[in-house]
Amino acid sequence: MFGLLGPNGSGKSTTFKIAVGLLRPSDGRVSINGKAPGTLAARRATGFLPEDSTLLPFLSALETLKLHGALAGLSRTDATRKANELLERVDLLHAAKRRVKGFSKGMQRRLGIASVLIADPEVFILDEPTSGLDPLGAVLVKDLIGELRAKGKGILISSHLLGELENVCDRVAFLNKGKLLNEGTLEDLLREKEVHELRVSPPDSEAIKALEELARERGLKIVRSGSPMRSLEAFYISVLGKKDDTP
Amino acid sequence: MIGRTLAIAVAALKEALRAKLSPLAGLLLLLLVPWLARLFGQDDPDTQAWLTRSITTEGLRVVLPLLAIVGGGFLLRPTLKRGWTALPARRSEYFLGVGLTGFVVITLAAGLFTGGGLIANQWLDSDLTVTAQGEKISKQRRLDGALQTAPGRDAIYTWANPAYSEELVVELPERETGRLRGTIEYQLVWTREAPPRDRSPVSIWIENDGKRHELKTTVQSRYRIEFEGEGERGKLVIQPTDPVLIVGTTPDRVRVELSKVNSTGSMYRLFALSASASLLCLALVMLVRSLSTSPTAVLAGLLLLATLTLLPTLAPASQMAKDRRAAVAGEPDEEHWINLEEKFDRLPQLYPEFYFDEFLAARNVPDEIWSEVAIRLLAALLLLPCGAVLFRARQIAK
Repeated sequence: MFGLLGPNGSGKSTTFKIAVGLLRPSDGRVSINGKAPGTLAARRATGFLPEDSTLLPFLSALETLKLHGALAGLSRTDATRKANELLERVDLLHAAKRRVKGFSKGMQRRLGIASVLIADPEVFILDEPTSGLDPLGAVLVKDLIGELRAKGKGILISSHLLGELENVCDRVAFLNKGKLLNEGTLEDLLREKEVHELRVSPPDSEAIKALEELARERGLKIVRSGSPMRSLEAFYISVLGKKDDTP
Repeated sequence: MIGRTLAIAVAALKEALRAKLSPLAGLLLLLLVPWLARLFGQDDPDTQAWLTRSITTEGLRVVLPLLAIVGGGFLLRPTLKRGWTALPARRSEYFLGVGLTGFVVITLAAGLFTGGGLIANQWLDSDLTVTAQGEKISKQRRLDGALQTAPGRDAIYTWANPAYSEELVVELPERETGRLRGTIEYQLVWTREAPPRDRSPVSIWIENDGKRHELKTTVQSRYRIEFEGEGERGKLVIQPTDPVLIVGTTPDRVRVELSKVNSTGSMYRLFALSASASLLCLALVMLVRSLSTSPTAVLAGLLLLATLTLLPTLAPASQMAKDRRAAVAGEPDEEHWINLEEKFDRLPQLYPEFYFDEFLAARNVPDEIWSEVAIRLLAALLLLPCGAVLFRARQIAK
C-alpha cells in the first residue's frame, strides 16, 4: 500500500489519472501489473475512485452497482448478488432503492467505493477516499481498505488527512508542484530516533516519579510527561458507536 | 463490448427519463401543436388547419435539428466528473452508449411532437391536412375551359356569375374509391342587387357522361364548404346558387380526398425524415465534441454552419437573396469571392424542402421519402463509430 501526500496542486490526482490512462505522461513510464495504463488488461486490473465521485444522480444505489457490475463483465445474477453484498458492507442496504441524488456526500462516497469493489480488481487507486465522510464513515472505509490490504491487493492512495495514511500505508511519497520530494517506508521517514516514548498503565504517580528520577540520574532529558489525550475521532466513535448512520 | 455499451446506454436513458423536467417536457411536446392551433386558430377551421400544418412542419424541420445540435454539445461529458462512471469500460463504449441514448431521446421527442400534430388533426378536424392535387386540377381546368370566365392558374381566381349561368368545373383526380369527399374554399363578390339568400352560395355536383347528381354539402365557415357523396369519376361542378353572389376559387383551394392520401401517412413520413436528419445532426456534433473539451466552442461553430448551410431557409445565401442581389448588381463575376455563397448553396441540404412545402400546402408527402431517410440514418450511424475512435484516442479533460 502506497500513499501519496502533498498540498493541493502538487500533482496527486494527475498522477492517478496517468496511472489509469486518462492522461498521457510528458515524461517517465507507468505500468499496472506490467501492462501499459489504458490498455484493456490494465483497465481490468484497476479500480479507480476519483476525488470527485459524481455518480449518476437518478439511478438508485442498487442500479449504480449493477451498472458497474455489468461494465466489469458480471452476469446479471452475479451483479445483483454482489451489489447487495457490497451495499450491506458499506452500510447502504437500507438505501438500496433510493436514488443517488438524495444521498449525502458521505453516502455517495461509500457507494463510489462499493462501485470500485464490485469489479474485484487487483490494484486500487483511491484519490482521497475518506473525503467528505463523517468519522464513522471514515472508519468504515479504513476498515475496507485494511481488508483489501490483508487480501494482498495493491493500493495507491492519497489523502489530506496525514493521520489516515500514517496508520495504514507501507510506503509514502511526498509531492509538491509535480516534483517528488521524498519517498520511503513509514519506519524510515517518521521514526524519531533521538526520542523514546514509554507508556505505562495504570498511571501510578509514585512509580512514574521513580522512573523520572532514574532517567535524570542517567542524564536523560524528559521531553514530556503526563496522561496522553485521546484523539477526537476516537472519542467520537466511543460516544456515537459504529452502528449509527448519519446520512 | 455490446453488453457494456448497452449497459451504459440503458443507464443514460434512465437518467434522461427520470430527470425532473422530463415528464413535463414530454407532455409539452405532445400537446404543443393542438394547444397552439386551438389557442390561435379560435373556431376557424382554415386557421386551425394552417397552424397545425405549419407548427408541425417548422417544428420538425427547424426546431428539432437545432435541439439535437444543442443537446449533442452537452450530451457527451469527456471530463472525469461525469465520464468516470464509464471507466471500467472502454471510452469508445461510453461514446457509443451515450450516442445511442441520444438517438433514442431524439426519436422519442420527434415522435411525441408528431403525435401532437396527429392529435390536432383528429381533435380539430380530421380533414385538416387532407390533400388535393393542385397542379393536376389546374391543368385539367385549362383544358376544360369552356365554362370558365378566366384561365385557371394556381394563384388567380376563376369566377362564376350565376346571372350568366356560369359554373366552375374541376376535373377529379384519379381515385381508388367511389366515395368522393373534400373541401372547397372560395371568395364571394356581392352584386348589391339584393341581400344574399342562403348561408351556402353554391351547390356541388358531380357530372359523368352528361348526367349530374348533387353532393351533400356542409358549410364549415363563411368561405369554406365540405362536400361528400358517391361518384368514381367525372367532373366536379361548383354551381353558384345565389343570384347576387359571384363565386370564385383557385385550383389550390379545391381539395379532394384521395384514398391513398391521408394526413397520418404524410406526418409519419415527415417524422421519419426529421428524426433521421436530427440524428445526423446529433452524430455530427458528437463527432466534433469528441475532439473538443468546450461544448460552447463546438456549439458556436456548428450553429453557424447549420445557419449558413444546413438550414437553407435561414441562410443569407437563399435563392431569394441571390435573386435580389442579381437584380441590383447584375450578374456577379464568376471568379469573385462573393460566389462563396453560391458554393454554400450547392452543399447537400439537411432536408429536401419540397416535402415540407408539400405538406404545408395540404398536399401529400410522397412515398419516395424513405430513401432520403435511409441515407441520413446511415450517415448518422457511420459517424458514431468514427467519433468513438476519436474519443478513445484523446486525453480526458483535467
